[in-house]
Amino acid sequence: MDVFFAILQVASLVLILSLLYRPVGDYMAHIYTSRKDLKVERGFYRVIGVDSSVEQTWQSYLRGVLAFSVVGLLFVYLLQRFQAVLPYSLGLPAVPEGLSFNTAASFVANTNWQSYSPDLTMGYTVQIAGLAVQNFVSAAVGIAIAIALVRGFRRRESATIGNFWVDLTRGILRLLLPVAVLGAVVLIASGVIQNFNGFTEVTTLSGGIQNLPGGPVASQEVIKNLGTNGGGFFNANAAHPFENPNAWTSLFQNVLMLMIPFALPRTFGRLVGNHKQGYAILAVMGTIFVASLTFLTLCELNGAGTAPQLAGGAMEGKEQRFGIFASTLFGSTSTLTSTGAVNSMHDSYTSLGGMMPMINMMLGEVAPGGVGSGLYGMLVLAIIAVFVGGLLVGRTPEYLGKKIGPKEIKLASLYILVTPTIALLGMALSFAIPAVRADVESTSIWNAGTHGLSEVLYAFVSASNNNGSAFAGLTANTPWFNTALGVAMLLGRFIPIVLVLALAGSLAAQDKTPATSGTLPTHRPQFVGLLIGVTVIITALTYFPVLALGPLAEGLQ
Amino acid sequence: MDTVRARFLANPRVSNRMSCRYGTHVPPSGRVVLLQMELPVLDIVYVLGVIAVFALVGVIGWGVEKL
Repeated sequence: MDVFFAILQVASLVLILSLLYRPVGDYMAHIYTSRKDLKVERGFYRVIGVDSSVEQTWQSYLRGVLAFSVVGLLFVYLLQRFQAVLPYSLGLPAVPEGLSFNTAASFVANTNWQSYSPDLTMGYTVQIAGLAVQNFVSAAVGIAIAIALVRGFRRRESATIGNFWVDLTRGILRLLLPVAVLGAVVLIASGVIQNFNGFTEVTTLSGGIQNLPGGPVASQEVIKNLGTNGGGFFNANAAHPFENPNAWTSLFQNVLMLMIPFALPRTFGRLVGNHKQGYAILAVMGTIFVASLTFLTLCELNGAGTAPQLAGGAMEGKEQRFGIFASTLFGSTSTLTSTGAVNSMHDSYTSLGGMMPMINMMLGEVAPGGVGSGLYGMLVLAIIAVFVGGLLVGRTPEYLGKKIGPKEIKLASLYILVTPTIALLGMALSFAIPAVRADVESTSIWNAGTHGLSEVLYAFVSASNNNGSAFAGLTANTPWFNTALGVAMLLGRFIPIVLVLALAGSLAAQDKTPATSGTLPTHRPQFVGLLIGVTVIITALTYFPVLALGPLAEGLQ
Repeated sequence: MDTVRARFLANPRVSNRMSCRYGTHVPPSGRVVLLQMELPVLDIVYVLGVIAVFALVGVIGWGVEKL
């Protein structure tokens, strides 16, 4: 029955995503190439003083991204600090300074790491005006950056890569908002709650008193998944029955998480005028996704120990309503995209199973990755693969008619170094500074030994890759983790964006080189294999030592 | 309490003086309020920190331009 259920879920997911691939991908291509502005968009441009017909250089585009993000971050920070005087705050006090910073950084960076229990910390105004707004805009920023990079491949001798404000506005108004409205209606019809009731006191069957939380959950839940954000309305995230009431909503949330990231290769193929290039990228993403899901599921089905053997799998921390497969499917989807939502506790996975969500993030979240960030991460890896392939067979490194020269390789190399550096440095500092180490070991780590190390590693890998999921055994609401993880999230989000936009500018400035017999074909299975190999090897070389100290050592115990 | 004494104490002039004597119910001046407010040091640190992080990213962008 479990196997039948698993096959049914995968088949449904693949079918739905296949049906969505072309229309969603083509629609996104249309959005970002259309010359017409909607009436509401024109009004918005007038308000912010933007001429939508004027394009920006990559430097100007970057300034727009940074200015917009810093203003958003400070707004969310202040909103939390003034929560006590805001309406619909449910009587909750102001959020402490460190936690406010961490949360604001987290939502602006599309991470949604939560060091707090949302239903007991955030009132409705902060949830709606602060966090949900960032769910939309941070996702739209990610897609805009990916589109800017694709324009770099598409254009010839151009100094500009598009207009950030136009891309941002269109992404929100034409894509995220309409889909979110439809998705919220589906979720409400499926049993996800949507109200402003606050807490309702009920008497339980045993005569006890219980406070049931209410809230505008469906409207948050849909963009949490669609924008690969991941911040839950409740502490249990998608394991809470009000957020994820049944097997259908669990599957639907998987679809929401994967819909845009898996359709973006279609957009890419369409914009560069060669759909085969899009299929090649899709094949890489799909292969890594299936391999990761299979490995994680096998680990959890074959958990060592008496209890897992008797139960037919490692059931601790799993979504008991839907079984192991729905848990591993959700966990894989959530960590292979940049969502970070959970319907099971990754901390309770088997040691090797728990390593898999970590590896998913360490891969750079490119299979299929977060909205936008997955595609631009994969394209950077494709540049590295082209370069490596060129070195191997003595061919000119070119990708889509653009020469991959020293500047492009420097930018791509820096891109793949930034996130691991932030993650490993953050973890190392947690143990290298004596005062911090004492605090981490006495307050934050609940599991001594290798698993404790894995918890800290997971936190920094998750933050720097903008995922947001956690090994829940770690108490992260401390001054050190709130600050260090907040900084890691911001640097992990915006430094790669700098490099990608610089790459876009550099590529756009080039003319196209016609393909010759010396050009490495980048739409064939050989290139797909090469790109998978490059992705896996880069991750393995970077992270293997620390994995050996954490989950691998734990697995051998 | 007899009526005369009650009326005497209810007089705002008297009650204000009584408040002064016991140091209660004295509406503080704006300057006093300002001086008594705790300086939100952590808020200032975090806001400046955010600006510093974004400035660092901007500087990296400037450095990348020179590559």
